[in-house]
Amino acid sequence: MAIKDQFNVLAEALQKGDSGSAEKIFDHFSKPIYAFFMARIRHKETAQDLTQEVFLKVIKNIEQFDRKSGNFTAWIWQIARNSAIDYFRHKKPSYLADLPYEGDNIIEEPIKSDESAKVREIMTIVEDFPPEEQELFQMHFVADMSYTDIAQITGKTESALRVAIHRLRKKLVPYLK
Amino acid sequence: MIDFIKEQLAVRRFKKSLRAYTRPDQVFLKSARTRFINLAQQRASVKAVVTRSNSWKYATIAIVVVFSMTSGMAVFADANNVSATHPLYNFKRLSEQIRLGLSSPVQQVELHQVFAHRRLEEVTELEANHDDPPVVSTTSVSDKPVPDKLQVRIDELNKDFQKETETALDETENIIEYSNRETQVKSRDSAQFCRDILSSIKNRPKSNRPPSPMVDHIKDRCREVLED
Repeated sequence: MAIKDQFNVLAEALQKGDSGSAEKIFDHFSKPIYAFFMARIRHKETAQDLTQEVFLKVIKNIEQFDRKSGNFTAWIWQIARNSAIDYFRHKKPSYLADLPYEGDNIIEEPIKSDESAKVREIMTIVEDFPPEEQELFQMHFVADMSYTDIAQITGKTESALRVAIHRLRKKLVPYLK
Repeated sequence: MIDFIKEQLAVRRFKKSLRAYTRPDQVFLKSARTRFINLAQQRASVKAVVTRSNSWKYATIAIVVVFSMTSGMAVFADANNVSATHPLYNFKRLSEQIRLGLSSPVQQVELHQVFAHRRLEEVTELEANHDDPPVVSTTSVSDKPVPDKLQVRIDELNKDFQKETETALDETENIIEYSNRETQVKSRDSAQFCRDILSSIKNRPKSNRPPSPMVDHIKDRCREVLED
């Protein structure tokens, strides 16, 4: 049985064309979804494009969302996840923008704090982790998604996720010190 | 314990830095937000237009279906000359009204004559169906009261018969007055019509009830026409 999501009501209103619901949905999901793409792709413009693409897909496919049996949070994150998968499937093998220190990040580099450098360093380390752990890192640490939503998207149980995230945390801790 | 707290703090600090690093800029957020809301509004207006057009579509289909069914039943009832107790009887009357409305004055006279015959047949049939089979007993069948509803129906049909007959005769007179060309033909038709009506009334099965004053009136009117 699907867990009732507070955003299901807003999704239903959006299905009827309510712009107020659109505002609330965007305000809640835009930042974590952008962060998810940014952490995964590490290119500002691409993350922006993909974020916009997710919201376009939301508008385009909102009729298909079933409020009674679905969970809007899981649904929108599934769209984001699929967009990221599509991006990596279709992206060119060598793309300068995908390099760790590209575009705006290079320009901003001198004024960025040590913390930003640390973040990029950790992200580079995470890239060497198995794909499942990378995704968990992006969903839990970057997008700050709840266990329930991650469980719905990945198809794992919440207890299995807690164990996996605990292991990921243990794996990360040595690099954080 | 201290190590655990240090770990937690490190993770917390990292999460905070991570969020700062992956925070979108306000210009992008503002433009994306505006675009998303505009799309939602556009979608709402498109949906409203689609809903409206669908409503019209369904309304048109419903009207066509109702019209087809009504006209079909009316044509069927009229063609089969259904009895007054038939469920489609009102459709027959509707069809008659439509035929009258679409006919020329000369054709209307003919139709009124046909309809007068029909009403008379309907009354006769209704009365015949009501009458009990002949019973050989001391009790008079005529004492049996006619049910109210049936009597009302018979009266209505008698009234319609009178109306149709009189309209047919009046219209014939009007045509005779205003048209020289058809005078002789219509005068002959009118006499024949009266003879037919009188014959039909005469040949009706014997009813247990007293004759209707409306039928008596028509008999008198027809006799007058024949005498003229």
